[in-house]
Amino acid sequence: MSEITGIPATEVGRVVQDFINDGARQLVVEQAPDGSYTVTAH
Amino acid sequence: MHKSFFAAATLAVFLIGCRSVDQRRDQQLSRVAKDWCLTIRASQVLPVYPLTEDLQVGDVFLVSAPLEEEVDELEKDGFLPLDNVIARVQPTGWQQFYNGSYGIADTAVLPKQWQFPQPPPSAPPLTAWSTAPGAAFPSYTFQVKEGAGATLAIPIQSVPVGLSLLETGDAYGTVNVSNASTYGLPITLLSPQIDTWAAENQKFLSQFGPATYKDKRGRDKHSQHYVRVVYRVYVAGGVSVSLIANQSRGGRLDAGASKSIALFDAGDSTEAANTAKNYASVISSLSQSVASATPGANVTIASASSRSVAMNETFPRPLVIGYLAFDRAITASGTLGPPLPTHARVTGQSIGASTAVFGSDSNADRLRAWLTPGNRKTLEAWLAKNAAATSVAVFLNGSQFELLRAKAVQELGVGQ
Repeated sequence: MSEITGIPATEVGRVVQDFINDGARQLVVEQAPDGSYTVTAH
Repeated sequence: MHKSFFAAATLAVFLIGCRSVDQRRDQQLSRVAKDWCLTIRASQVLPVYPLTEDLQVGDVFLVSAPLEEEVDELEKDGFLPLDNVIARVQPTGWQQFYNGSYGIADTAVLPKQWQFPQPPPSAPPLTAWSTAPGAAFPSYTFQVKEGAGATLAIPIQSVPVGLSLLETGDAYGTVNVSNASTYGLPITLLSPQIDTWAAENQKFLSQFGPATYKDKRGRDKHSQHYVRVVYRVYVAGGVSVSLIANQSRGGRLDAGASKSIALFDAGDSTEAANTAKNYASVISSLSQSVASATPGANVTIASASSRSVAMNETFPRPLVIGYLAFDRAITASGTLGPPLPTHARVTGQSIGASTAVFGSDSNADRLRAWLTPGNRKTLEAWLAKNAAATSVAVFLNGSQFELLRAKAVQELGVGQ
């Protein structure tokens, strides 16, 4: 499992693409109370 | 007219000369301080400068300087400033880690039980650091040139005392850290306790969340604050200093009041029988003379000759000379990211991680543009050496990899 926290909304797409390029099979995108996002790859 | 011109010229020369001496002394001070710090750093320990007793495991600092500035500071000065203390967490878990060794019981409060033993000793040593885990450091070699030794930046008093005894300002010597102790907690025990503290102070920490700003050239820069948590400290009870004069001559330097001290001379063969007795007597009188000349320094003479002197200096109370710490990035909501070893982070060493707080930069963009399938394998092989167990995605997007990304761009020839 890999996880990146504190991602601004404008950067979420790029982080998701990086994980996909890494071969991630399952991605979970969550929004934190402060509005930032966490992307978790399995 | 000529007289006033001559006086002005003389004054100008005098002032320039003073400035030159000041600059030379400043250079000498910073060089000696840096050498001292590099010795401590050579042991993979971050140096404390100036030395202090008041640094403990569980101390939390706010690090606001960008990573590249911290790296510059470490390279330039040899140490990282510890100026923004924001908390002192009283950690638990000592008994679990030390399993009852070193007099550490369930109810242990460290380092208090070593700093202020109960009942208080009536005679020196007034502390109980001798029961703490031991440590040792490599010796530190230095050289002092004439005119710059009187106010050495090295945080010990034996050096100016020795220079005064030798009546020289041109000497070289070695410093050995003596009676060193250490104590600490593993990150796995301390970091969760920092989480508890962070939860109680989330509102305060949220002020220091990541931000983007424009640099002088109008480029977007990413700022990331960290909390730096001390998890091990190294304490020294004193130092042993050996000084050897390059040549005995004038230009005497005094520490405290000037004292005329006759250094040991074995004399001719007819006096050889009394050499040992005389030597002990001279050493004793030297130590007494030094004690009366420098009341602030607890310095005793171990051996002396006309060209060299060896001294033992005991600090009134043991002082912290170095520490180990980990950094945790502060998120926008005031929570903390994963722990990263400070020493590795600021020296660009391998830091493997599967979790990270977001912090991308222009080097990440360069690497993305460069990442063809072939280059991806090259980067993965490079990461295996420099940041084991770190995926490309985490490497490109983690704030803690800013320095390593710059290193990758340089070493892999990205964008050239």
